Amino acid sequence: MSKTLLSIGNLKVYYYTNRGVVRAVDNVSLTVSSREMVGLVGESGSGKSTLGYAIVRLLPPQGRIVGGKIVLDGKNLLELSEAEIRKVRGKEVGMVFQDPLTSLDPLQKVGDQLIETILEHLNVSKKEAYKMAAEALMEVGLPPDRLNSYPHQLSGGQRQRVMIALATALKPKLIIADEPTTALDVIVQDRIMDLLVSLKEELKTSIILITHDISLAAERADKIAVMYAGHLYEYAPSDEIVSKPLHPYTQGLIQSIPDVFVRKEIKEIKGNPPDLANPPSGCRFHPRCPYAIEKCAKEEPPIVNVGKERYVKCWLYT
Amino acid sequence: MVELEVSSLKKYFPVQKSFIERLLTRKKQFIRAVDGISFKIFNGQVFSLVGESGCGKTTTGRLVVRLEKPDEGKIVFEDKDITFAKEKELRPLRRKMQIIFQDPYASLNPRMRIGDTIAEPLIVHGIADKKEAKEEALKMLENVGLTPAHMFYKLLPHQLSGGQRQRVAIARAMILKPKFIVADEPVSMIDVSLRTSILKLIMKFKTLYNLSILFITHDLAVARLISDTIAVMYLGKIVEVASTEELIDNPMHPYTKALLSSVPSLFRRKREKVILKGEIANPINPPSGCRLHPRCPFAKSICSQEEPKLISYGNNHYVACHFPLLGKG
Ligand SMILES: Nc1ncnc2c1ncn2[C@@H]1O[C@H](COP(=O)(O)OP(=O)(O)OP(=O)(O)O)[C@@H](O)[C@H]1O
Ligand SMILES: Nc1ncnc2c1ncn2[C@@H]1O[C@H](COP(=O)(O)OP(=O)(O)OP(=O)(O)O)[C@@H](O)[C@H]1O
Ligand SMILES: [Mg+2]
Ligand SMILES: [Mg+2]
Repeated sequence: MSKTLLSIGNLKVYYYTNRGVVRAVDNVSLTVSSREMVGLVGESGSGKSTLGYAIVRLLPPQGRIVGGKIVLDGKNLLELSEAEIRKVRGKEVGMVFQDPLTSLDPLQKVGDQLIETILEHLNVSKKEAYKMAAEALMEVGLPPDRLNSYPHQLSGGQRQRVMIALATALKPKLIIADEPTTALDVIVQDRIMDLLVSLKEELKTSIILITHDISLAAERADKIAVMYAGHLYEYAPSDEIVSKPLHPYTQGLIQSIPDVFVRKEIKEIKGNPPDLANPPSGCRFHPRCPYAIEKCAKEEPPIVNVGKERYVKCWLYT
Repeated sequence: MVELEVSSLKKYFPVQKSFIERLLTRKKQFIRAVDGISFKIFNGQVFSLVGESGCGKTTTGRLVVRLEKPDEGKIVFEDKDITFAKEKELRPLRRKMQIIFQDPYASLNPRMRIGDTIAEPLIVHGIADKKEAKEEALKMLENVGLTPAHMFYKLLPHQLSGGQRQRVAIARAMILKPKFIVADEPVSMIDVSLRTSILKLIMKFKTLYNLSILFITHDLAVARLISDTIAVMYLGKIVEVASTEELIDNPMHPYTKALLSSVPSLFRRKREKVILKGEIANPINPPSGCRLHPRCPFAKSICSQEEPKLISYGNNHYVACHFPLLGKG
């Protein structure tokens, strides 16, 4: 078995808003092995981004980590000073966001942004940094002359490649990619995903792929973690999530999505996702669950191991 | 019976230029958003337009319900030529043609109670008085699953979820019992777990009113689920049209094949990739001949010289390609 790179234990991330406390990530535990891609899936508002950003402690001012631990390669990231965590970002953990335009500086050439990132973290000469930046661009399939382009001169797919170059330039151990292809067309998405998968192999990094598209995660990730309403409900190898989903929510999700290659009857999950300022008691999925029993409304089920690398949080299996 | 027939339809948008650019080039430039497309939608059928962002899907949708004026071509709706019809002539037809937009937030009046929003078309078209319209709207709320209807009637759009707002938009479009609707990416802004119920709702009305639908989507999985026929667009042109099963099982255009091989799937059979070079070209100066030729792995010299026509390969399968991928499934 490969070694654990990241271990998240009982993590709680809450937002303190004027509507009350939003329990966006509540008691989530998850481990990511080295060289593994984990797909973090779930519908809008389920807490995927919050979990992703919490790992590098990049939360908006209302957001607070109120409990748990996040251990990366033996280091509890929650105990680091602000200066120390800043070093982890970029160097040890690279980030790729959905919209590169908001995270790239529009007034700076992409080459300069790359060189700056490299100089900030590594003790190399300017010339050396320039060479590394050109290499990073080539790695992501862009000609090195693109170093002189401004972000707006690039297409959406090219900008996302620049983001990936920025995230991988320092050869981090972990990449967190938050909906990296959601704004892109499928053909471009497919190429960006090819790129992420090949970088994973080459750089021996782990990747957390945050996406609402379970088909994408199933095709690309080694494992899938399913979130719903701030809880992690199922965690298993991708093939098994598709062929034998255990949690009623995962089952519902798989039955509800149309597929281009299979004519199938699709069934909706009844009801709406809850308001996380006022989540349902017990299991947060119970109001929509076809198998709910009395206990589900009263007590939150623990997440339990139900076979090799399979975890599920449901009273049906406990 | 043919509900809508479109032939050689064109729409070019003038390129907005800055003052300096205008001094430098005198030539007027155009974005060829829709560049000579033809198709038919039969009564009670769903015809989907798929393709990448900017290929002209929305423009086509807006043209056929005449929210946009065509430059050339012909649009025949229920045997009536509406290509250049004036707003006055269109008014009686507006009842029969409706459009549902991608963003249910932008398409609803934020200050109007949703019940009144749904009732409004009945009053505008002089079909019902206020009281009758309200009755109808309540029935419609029931029909789209927003119950208890009396409670929902009084809510404002911001008090609803995205999925519920799209239900309101559908209710408003359906209250006039249209014959034809354009649904422009009606689920792309809606959460995965709620998409299915919205698609099912659209299908329910399709059966109820024997609706014909022009369904616009970039999601081939959704297109497969909902449509009878699928047309694939690339840079303002239709490159392939066939019945849903035929198009997915037997794509002949390299572009269709590239699209299909890129769609993520839970149940993909063997993956046979068609890789297109580079990126989508500029619609202002599209490539000569076949617009895909600079990217196409199968292109030969004729492809840059001659534009391929959309021709039939039997089984109602039409392809615009000099070297279609025959029998290679
Ligand atoms: N800055 C914030 N202030 C208050 N609440 C927030 C904030 N950011 C997120 N939330 C809330 O936290 C919950 C989780 O949000 P998060 O963005 O993590 O979800 P997500 O799964 O990434 O959703 P999406 O798919 O829409 O990106 C939601 O209920 C959201 O409304
Ligand atoms: N009103 C307009 N003025 C100028 N150009 C326009 C206008 N509307 C659309 N275009 C251009 O016409 C082309 C086709 O646009 P259209 O919106 O029809 O594409 P689409 O296939 O619906 O794309 P998407 O999937 O992104 O919605 C694009 O290049 C677009 O920028
Ligand atoms: Mg998010
Ligand atoms: Mg559009």
